[in-house]
Amino acid sequence: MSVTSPRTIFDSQDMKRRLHEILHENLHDKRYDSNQCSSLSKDLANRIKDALKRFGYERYKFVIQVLICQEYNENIQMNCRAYWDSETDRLAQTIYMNQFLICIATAFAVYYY
Amino acid sequence: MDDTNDTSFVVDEVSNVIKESIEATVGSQSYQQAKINTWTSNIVEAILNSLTKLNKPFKYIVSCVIMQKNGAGLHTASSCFWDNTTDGSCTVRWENKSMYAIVSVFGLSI
Repeated sequence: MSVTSPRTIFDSQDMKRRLHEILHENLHDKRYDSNQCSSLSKDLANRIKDALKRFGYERYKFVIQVLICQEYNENIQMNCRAYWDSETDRLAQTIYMNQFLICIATAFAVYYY
Repeated sequence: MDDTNDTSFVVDEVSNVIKESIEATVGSQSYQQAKINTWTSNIVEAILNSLTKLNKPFKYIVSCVIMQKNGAGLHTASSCFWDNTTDGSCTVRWENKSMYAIVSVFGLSI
């Protein structure tokens, strides 16, 4: 089995900026609404996936997770870990808040050898 | 067809691993702000350890969210760009009287 190396490694900072732009475009005027947020979270995840594909990183697989929760004085804790190759694989995460909701978007980029 | 189990993401197997880890860590407990960091870390570590012991040619991503039950709403969605024939995911939603836990595992073949 031949193992390849990535020509360009996934840039977390660039991705984080792009994630934040997408969240701001789509959420700055939104309130938390149970019916709307169901499709909104799916829509955001798909938009982020499309944006990542457009960057053109070769041989990278992407997993995007979007979490939207209502701003209600609740306590929430999120933790993630990966078992991967730290030389090639990366994570980009951003948190967007407005008065009514909190959105956490995480993008994982995993290299396929 | 015998070796598809060795090289594919088996959702049922992973789902059991997740449920066991959640039950073992927070199964009988009430929400406690001071412990929540330890709980999420322990759940994630336990799941990763069990998954790596399966010795499959996969990279794994595990994510755990614990939220206090106080009436707030929560939605989570994921989108993946991968190989549908080999890669897979499993999400388990668990709750008790005082909190919700949502754990997602993504397995990507190498």
